[in-house]
Amino acid sequence: MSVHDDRDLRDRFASLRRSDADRTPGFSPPRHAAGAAPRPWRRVALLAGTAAAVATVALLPWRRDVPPLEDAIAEAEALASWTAPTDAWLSIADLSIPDAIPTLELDSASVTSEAEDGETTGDSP
Amino acid sequence: MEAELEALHARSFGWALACCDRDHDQASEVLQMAYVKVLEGTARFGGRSSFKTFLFGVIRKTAIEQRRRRWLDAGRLSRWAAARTPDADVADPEHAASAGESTRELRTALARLSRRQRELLHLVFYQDLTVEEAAGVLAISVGSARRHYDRGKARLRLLLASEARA
Repeated sequence: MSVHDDRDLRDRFASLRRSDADRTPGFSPPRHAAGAAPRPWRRVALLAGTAAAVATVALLPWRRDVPPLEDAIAEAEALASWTAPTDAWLSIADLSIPDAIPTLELDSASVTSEAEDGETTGDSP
Repeated sequence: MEAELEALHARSFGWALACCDRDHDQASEVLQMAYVKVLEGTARFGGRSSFKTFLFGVIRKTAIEQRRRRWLDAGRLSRWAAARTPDADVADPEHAASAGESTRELRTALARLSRRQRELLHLVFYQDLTVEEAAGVLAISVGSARRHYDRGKARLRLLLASEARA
């Protein structure tokens, strides 16, 4: 790869470049691109759109249909008084719930005499 | 910005031709789209490279996008497949006649290189970029660019020699 070889390639490419230059269309910058930079209305439209979107999101909760207070109270009462159809199965006729916690007294416990004498242990030979 | 684009216009068109398989109409379209990107600020010049390197990168990317779009178009894809031959880019008889024999041989040989090799040789020999600058345009490493450059150059010489013998 001598310099001479590269020179040969460069000459060929230079010839190609000259050939292409004859076919190159004239420079014409895109009109819409050239005029694109100073377009203040675009920025204004963008700002207006953003403001509208923010306002819509902010006002959405206020626009929801809130029921009147009376209706809400009636609905809550209905919920509180509701009972399941199977509740009747849970009622027991003789059930009495004690008012106080029963206490454990000495009289209520019985201790056998065999236990005291140690005769019922079964360990003795 | 416009003045810079105008100063590089001829070279940019040459590069667009190389990126569009030397299709004149596609190259014109790609170049206009690249100009729109640069002028509207969609593609911003960060100053990390030369403006020429940046612009060539935009042109190449735009050409790839356009190529992909055409491939996704099934009708065009079938037409492309039917029309595609190794010498498709020298099919314009009027232009081929006007171009010199040396240029014709070069165009035919270039069409037979891989896209990457063709782009690298174009950037170095046609656009007078260094291999490092060409690597920047193609968004590849310098080592990879150098490999493609060396292999492409060797293969181009072989193809030119066989063209000359034919």
